[in-house]
Parts: sequence; C-alpha cells; structure tokens
Amino acid sequence: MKPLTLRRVLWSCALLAGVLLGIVLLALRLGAVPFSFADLGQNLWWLVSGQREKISTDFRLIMVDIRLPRILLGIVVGAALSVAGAGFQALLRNPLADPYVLGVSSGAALGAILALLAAPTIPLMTPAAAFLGAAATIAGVYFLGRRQGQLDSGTLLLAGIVMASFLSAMIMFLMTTLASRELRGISFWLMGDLSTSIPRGLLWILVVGFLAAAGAILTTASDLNVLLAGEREAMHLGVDVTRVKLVVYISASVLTGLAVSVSGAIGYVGLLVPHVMRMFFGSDYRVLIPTSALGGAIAIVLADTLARTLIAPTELPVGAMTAMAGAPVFIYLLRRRVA
Amino acid sequence: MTWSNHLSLRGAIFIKDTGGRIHLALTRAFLVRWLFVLAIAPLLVGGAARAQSMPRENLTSSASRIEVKDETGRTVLVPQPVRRIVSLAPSVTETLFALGAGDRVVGDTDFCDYPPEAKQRKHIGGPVSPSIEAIAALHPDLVVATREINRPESVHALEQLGIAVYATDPQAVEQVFVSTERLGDLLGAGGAGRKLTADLRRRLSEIDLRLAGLPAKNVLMIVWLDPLMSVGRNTFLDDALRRAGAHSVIDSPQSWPAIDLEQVVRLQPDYLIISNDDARQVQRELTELQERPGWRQLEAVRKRRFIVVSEAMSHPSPRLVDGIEQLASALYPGAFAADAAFLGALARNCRETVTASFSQLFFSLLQPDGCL
Repeated sequence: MKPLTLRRVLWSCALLAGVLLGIVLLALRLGAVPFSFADLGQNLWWLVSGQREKISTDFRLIMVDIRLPRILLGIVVGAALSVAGAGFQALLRNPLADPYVLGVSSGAALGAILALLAAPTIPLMTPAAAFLGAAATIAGVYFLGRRQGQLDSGTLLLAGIVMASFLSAMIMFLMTTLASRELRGISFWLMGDLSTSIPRGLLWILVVGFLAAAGAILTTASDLNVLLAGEREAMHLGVDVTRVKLVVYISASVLTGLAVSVSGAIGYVGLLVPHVMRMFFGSDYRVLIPTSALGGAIAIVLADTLARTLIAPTELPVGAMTAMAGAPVFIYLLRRRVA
Repeated sequence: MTWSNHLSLRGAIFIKDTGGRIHLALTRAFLVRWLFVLAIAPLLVGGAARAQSMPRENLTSSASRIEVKDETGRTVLVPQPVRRIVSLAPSVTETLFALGAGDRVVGDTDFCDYPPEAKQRKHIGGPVSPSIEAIAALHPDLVVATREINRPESVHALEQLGIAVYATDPQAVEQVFVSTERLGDLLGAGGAGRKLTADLRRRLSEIDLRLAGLPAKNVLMIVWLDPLMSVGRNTFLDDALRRAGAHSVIDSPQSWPAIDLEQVVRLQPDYLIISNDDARQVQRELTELQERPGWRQLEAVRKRRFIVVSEAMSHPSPRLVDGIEQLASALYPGAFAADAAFLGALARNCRETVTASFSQLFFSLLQPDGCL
C-alpha cells in the first residue's frame, strides 16, 4: 500500500469538498418553493458581494433564512456524527460501533422529553436539556466503563449498551404513561429531524464545538493507527494509550451530544460514512477523519434534500431517509469489496 | 535525516522522504494553537456578521399590528387587517371558513377537506411536519395553529422568520365557541363569529332540553382501533360526548389514552362510537371487530350497538355541534323522533357533511339493534 502523504490527504479532501459544494448548490436549488439556477446564482452573488439590498424578499426569506441555515446545520451534524463514528470504531475496536452505541442518543432523548414535559414553550430548552442528558450519559458510561481506573474497551461497550437500553426503556415508559400532547414531536426527534430552526448563535456554538472536538480526535490520529494493532502493542510502541482513549472518548461523545441535541438521533450516517471512506481512501486515521467529516456532511445534506423534496410540501424526517438509503448503499459496497 | 530534507514551521514539520514525497508532522503545541484559533475565528466572524445585519423588514403589507395573547399564553403581534391566512389544521380551516374568512385562507394542510373549497387551497404539508418554506412563500399575515396536533417546533420556526402565529387550544365544547369568537375578533369578523356561536349555543340548548331528565348512556368512543385508543378527561371530545347524553366509560387523565380490551370488557359500554366519514372503512372495521375473540365478550358488539357519526365529531370546530346532534339523536331516537322539524334539520346537516352511501348506513344504525 502506498504511504500516506500530505498531498494525498489534501487531494482527497479537495475532491470531497468539491462534491459537497455541488450537493449544497443542488440542495439550495431544490425545495417546496422552486428557484432557477440563474436566480440562485444572481442572488448568491449579491449575498456574497455585500449588495444585500438587491436581494428579493422571497429569496432572503426562503434561501437565507430557511434553506441555507438548514444546510449548514446538516453539514455540521453530518460531519460531527461521522467523525464521532470513526472515533468510536477506533476506540472500541469494533466495526459496528456508531455514535449512539454508548447510549448518548438515548440520554439526549430523555433530556429532551423531560424538557418538553417541564417547559414546552421555552425555546432552546429542548436542545439544552438534550445536551445535558447526553453529557450525563457520557459521564455515567465513563464511570461504569472503567476497570482498575482505566477505560476498558469491552467494559465500556457493555456499559454503553446497557445504559442505552435502560434509557430507551425509560423513554418508552414516559411516552406511554404520560402521553402528553407536547411529546408528539418526540417521534420525529427519535428518528432524527433537521427541520427545527436553530438560532444563528447556536449554529456558531455547534461549529466551534465541532472544530474543537474533531480537531482533538485528529491530534490522536497517528496514535489511533497504532492502537488498531492492539492496546498492549500500542503501549510498547510508546503510545500513551490511557490519554488517547480518554481524548477520543470525550471528544466523540461531545460531537455526538452536540449533533443529537439539535437534530435528534439521525441513524446510519455515523456507522456508514467512516466505512465508505475507508473503502475509498484507506484506513489511515489521518485521512479517515477529515474525509469522514466531509463525507458525513455530503450524506446528510443529500438525505435532507431528499427528505424535503420527495413528497413536498410534506417533509420526511431525515433519519428515515438516511436509514432507507444507507442500508442498500452499505450492502452494495460490502458486496463489491468482497467480490 | 539531515536538516535539508525537513522544514520546521512554528510546530509544523514538513518531511521529505527518499521518494520525494512530503509528509507532515504536527507537534501538539501547533495543534492546540490552531484549534484555539479555529475555535475563536467563527465567534469573531459571527459577531461581525451580527453587527452588520440589517433590521428585518416587515413582510406583510399591513401597516399596524395589534398585540394579543393566544390560547397557549403566547403574546403575538398580529398585523391588521389580516388579509392572508395559513391554517395548520383541519379544525382551524373549518373554523376560518365558518367565520366567512375562507377567501382569506391562502394555504392549508394536506388533510383539510372541509368545506370542499379548502381542498383547492395551496397545501403546505401535513399538520405535524409542514414545510416551513412553503408557508413562508405564501407571505401570510397570520398562521393559525392548534396545540392539539401542531408541533411547538413548527410554531417556533415560523416565529423566527417574523411570521405571526396564533395558536388555539380548545379543551371543551364551550371553549371551541370562545376560541371561534376570539379568532373572529382577530380577523375583523367579530360580528359573524358571535352570530355563529349564538346559533351553535342555541342548538346545544335545544339538545339539552330534549335530553333533560334522561340518564346518560355508557359509551366507548373508539378514537383509534389498533392500538385501541379512546378519549380522556379535559378533551373537547369527552365534553362533546357529555353534551350528546353519552358518558365515556374511560376516565383517564391522558388526552387520548391507549386502553386494554380487558378493561373495556369489564366496563361493558352500552354503545361503541366511531367517528369516520369513510363508510367502506367503517364497514370493514366493524365486520373485523365482530370476529376478534375478545370483542365478542362485549354486549355492545354482540347486539351490534355501533354508532357511526361523521368526522365533524372529532374536529374542535363549529361543525362539532353537527356531530353532537347526530350522536344525541342516535342514542335517544325517542327524544328526537317525535319532532319532524328537528330530524329534517338534522338530515340537512347530514347531507352536507356525510356522503350519500354513508348517510344510508348512518340511518340504518339509528336502530340500535338493527342489523348492519
């Protein structure tokens, strides 16, 4: 296998960034309200060149206030989920690991439900409570997953799965016994949904959080490569295994918590995208993490565009879309690799 | 390795290998520094963008706005006069049309099918997952939602765009009337609203008069069959049943409780009530019901005491009174049969709301023990 060079990392990322740009333009163009590409280009130029007063009211309302923020949110959420997925797959040395394997999404959902029951009318209460729920789960699983003061992959996985099923049971209990009218939206939330509008300030917090956590995982990339050979081997090669595992665990959990708190549990992306990227660009974590981020963004923006347009004006939850499209794509890629 | 084949730049080290390829090695200090910059930069850009963002212009053509409190306690600035309305629920659409504001409804949901004109309005998706951009594109002065079926997320998203959203939340028959009047006031149709509700209240008191002294009959309202769901306390439907002389055997703090069939068998309701306009579906459901093992334990099923009322019964709109009249006359044919005028009026209401084949079925069901 060819050694990984900086040039190859940059070219891979540039290629994916190009694809992402194309998909974003397509996503901007398509929707319940049609715009032509000419219109789109003209107005986008005005927007970028600062001639905001020329932009039509319709364009500002639909594009700038609705579609663009939603696409940006999709990019951040997709990137966060995929990087988290890649991180957990390395940390747990399990190809089936995804961002939700340790129960973060269930914790976030429980937080969201409690917020909807306690204060349904306060905006932003739901994402805040969802993030708190995710953080509490992360902490809980961390303490359950330690063995002799060290994070143990096997124990962590079991602790996460037990926690996830316990929290899911709590959610089902609350949903059937309380059945409050405010919980109607929760089924959308559990499936993953990007239609909730996010204030711009929150979007920036997400971007900052994503960059910090994904960057932290990236710093451990070469250590993760060694870790794939096994913990003992990595330790003998001079990797500070305890520190690497802690950094990856916290960063990947924070990424998942951020994504889940604004969009619910969008499935499949965090599991699939890292595998797809491995097939295309190799399994070196130094290239896998940036390409997973871009690939995740592409996957979610594409899925959300389909969710918005397939049966417009009614919208599908994006999670239903990713699951529907994700499974066949995965099987195809798997068969192709085997053949 | 000699100095000539690698280059160090503030913690980033470029290394040239023997094949001429360039590798990049980053020190931890470099990464931490740049992560910090990456984290701070968006905040600065965001702050700058916020500073230069323009104040939002008014999207509506209306000059003035009035401040009202909606039924969920939110304060809403409603443009006056309201010229363009988007409805987010079938019951809201019905109410708007009943108030004579139907021509101002520019958009409604995929499920708004009454009155027939409502079907011709631009659809904005389902009540639970409407397309926010389709609503925005209609430039509504006012969006009317209802807490019963719309999601708070949709309301919040519309608010963010500066669109006025007024939410109704009727939990009793009288509240449906008050809600209708308040909506009328908001739309400058206060007179029409009060005339409408005065008529509805008169029709209700007529029913009260006829049912005076008669004991309420125990019923099971089937809201959903699989899983079996009925009505709980504090819902408009529970109140509507009471107004029709029916007493729901289910007493639950939940609005739409899921019920165990065992419990229904224990409570033995006198009648099963279904609210549905699709005659064929009703027929299929009832036939299937009689074949299910547990259901045969019900006296009401063995004696075929089913009452089918129009969908008006399950919408908290002015049409609810039609449903109450239908149910009352089906439960107490004796109290209504004597009066040809009332039945005539009822039949007229039914023709408006119920399809021909359905009204046949409906009247055949008036005889409680008649065959289906």
